[in-house]
Amino acid sequence: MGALTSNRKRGDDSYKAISPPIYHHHPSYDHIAKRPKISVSMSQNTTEYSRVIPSNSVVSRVSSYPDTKSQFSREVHAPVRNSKFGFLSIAKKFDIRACYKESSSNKMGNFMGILERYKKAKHSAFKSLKHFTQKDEEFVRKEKNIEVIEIDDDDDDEEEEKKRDDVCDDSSIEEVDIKEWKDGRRGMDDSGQLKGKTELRSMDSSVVTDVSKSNRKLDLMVLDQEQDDLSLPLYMKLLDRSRKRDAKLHNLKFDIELNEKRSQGYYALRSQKKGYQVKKDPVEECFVPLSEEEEGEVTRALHNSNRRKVLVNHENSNIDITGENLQCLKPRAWLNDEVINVYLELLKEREKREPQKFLKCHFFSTFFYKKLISGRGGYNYQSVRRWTTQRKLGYSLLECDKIFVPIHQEIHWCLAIINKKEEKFQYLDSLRGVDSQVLDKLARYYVDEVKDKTGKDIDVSSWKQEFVKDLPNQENGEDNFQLVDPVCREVPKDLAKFPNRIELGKLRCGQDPNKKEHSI
Amino acid sequence: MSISTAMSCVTGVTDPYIRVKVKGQDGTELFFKIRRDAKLKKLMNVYCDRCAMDLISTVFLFDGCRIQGKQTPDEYVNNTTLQQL
Repeated sequence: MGALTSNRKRGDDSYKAISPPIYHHHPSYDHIAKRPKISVSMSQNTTEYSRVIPSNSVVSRVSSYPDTKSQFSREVHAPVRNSKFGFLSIAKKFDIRACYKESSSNKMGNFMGILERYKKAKHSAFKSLKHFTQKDEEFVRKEKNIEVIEIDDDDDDEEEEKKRDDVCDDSSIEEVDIKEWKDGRRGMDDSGQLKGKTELRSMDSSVVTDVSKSNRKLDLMVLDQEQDDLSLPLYMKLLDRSRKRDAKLHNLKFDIELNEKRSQGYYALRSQKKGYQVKKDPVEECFVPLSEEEEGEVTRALHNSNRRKVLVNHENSNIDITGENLQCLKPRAWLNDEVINVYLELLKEREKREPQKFLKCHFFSTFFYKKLISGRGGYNYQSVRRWTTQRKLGYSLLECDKIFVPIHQEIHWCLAIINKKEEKFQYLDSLRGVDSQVLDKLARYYVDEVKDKTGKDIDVSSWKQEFVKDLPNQENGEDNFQLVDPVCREVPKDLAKFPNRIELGKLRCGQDPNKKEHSI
Repeated sequence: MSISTAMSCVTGVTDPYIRVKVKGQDGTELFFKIRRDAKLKKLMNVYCDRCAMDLISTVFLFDGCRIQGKQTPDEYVNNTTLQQL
């Protein structure tokens, strides 16, 4: 093949080396020599060929091969495949044919028709070649007589390759089918997980496509039927095959149904679990984490630049909340009465929103107790008499189960509760302080209040005074006012679980919708 | 700590002016005369000046309710029955 190289220099060399005999054989060489060198190489090839022919009788017989073309049962009208390797490919085909015979006997039973037709065609094609011994082939390869055979064998080659493609396609489909069937089995063993279900579904679809492909093949077969009578029983065989698949599809259908039922069962179980989880612990409810947005809002509100700025105006109580007020919610900061007032207002609003969830409570502001004890003798009911009119509150104070009174003990915040429900006066101090004076005054106030509003005299001497002990301990001098929420929810236990002040403040800030609406 | 200051009104119905009594936490009382439709902000400023207090740290209450500077005495007179003080 050195003569065919595109390298010009080499061509020159070969030209120099081989040209003398050519010159002798071709008297017209002078004319050709003026042309480009490619033509020279061509001519050289032909000369070589012509030189070889007389020496080998077998090749001369091959040259007569094109005549056998008429033996084909039908012509193939399809794009001719360009086989590069010429006779080498034919040599391969011998092996392939052997493989097909084996495979057809083993697993390709369903494509016997195609194989038989293939065999028939091959038979006619190779009839002419059957006198080729292995030696001959090798010799031909050595002698590079590719061109002649290539052209003649083209039709056969093309047809054969087409068939091979067909067979290959089919075999691949078959394999996929089997594999997916196995997958389906595995999926079923996975006890109805969703995965198995989807696998089954995919398997289903693949089978459908498989069937459609075989249908396409059937169409082809029908077309061939006019020319080839043998294909009719094969067509029937394919039908049988497809019927066998029907059974398989039935199995798959059953499997799918089974798995779907299983998954439904699991879903039912899961939903039951969810239903169980819906019952929330009231304590848990207090620990709603903030979203990232809310976190950002909190940090912005607590920032020093907003110190003097009015962030929010709480409309119902006319309280302006500045950054300074919020900053006192930080750890180790001193609690402001504004914060307490707003917090109590918010608790009241929450109770109004969901009256069935909370006890009916009234929250006095931080000014109440101060006002009450401002008069001569440390008690002045008249100054707070008009604080609790029905018109003002919208409800009667006496209906309330609990009345919360924040109390400021110089540098410490405490809480007193008039607990009408349990008929006792409670005093909550996170520093374990005891101040019976406060409770005495509140008892007096309550009697006066009832007398003023309803005209009745009640006796509260039987009411107990309780100094609640099971409270979270307060560290240092930081004020602590986180008790109100659990008490008004009637969950006095587990108080220690409640978050510290800053968290509580965050929760309230984040949770209260009014605050957000009015934020500037 | 805010300083709470109680405020009461003494008035005649037809009078365009109203008498307001402001009671400090320490029990001291101051009387003001102010137009009914004037903003209470004026009154608060004058009171804080007289008592040498910071307006920001002062809270004015009326029947336990907080008063804002933009409100006028009329709102309270109409909304509440003011017979005395």
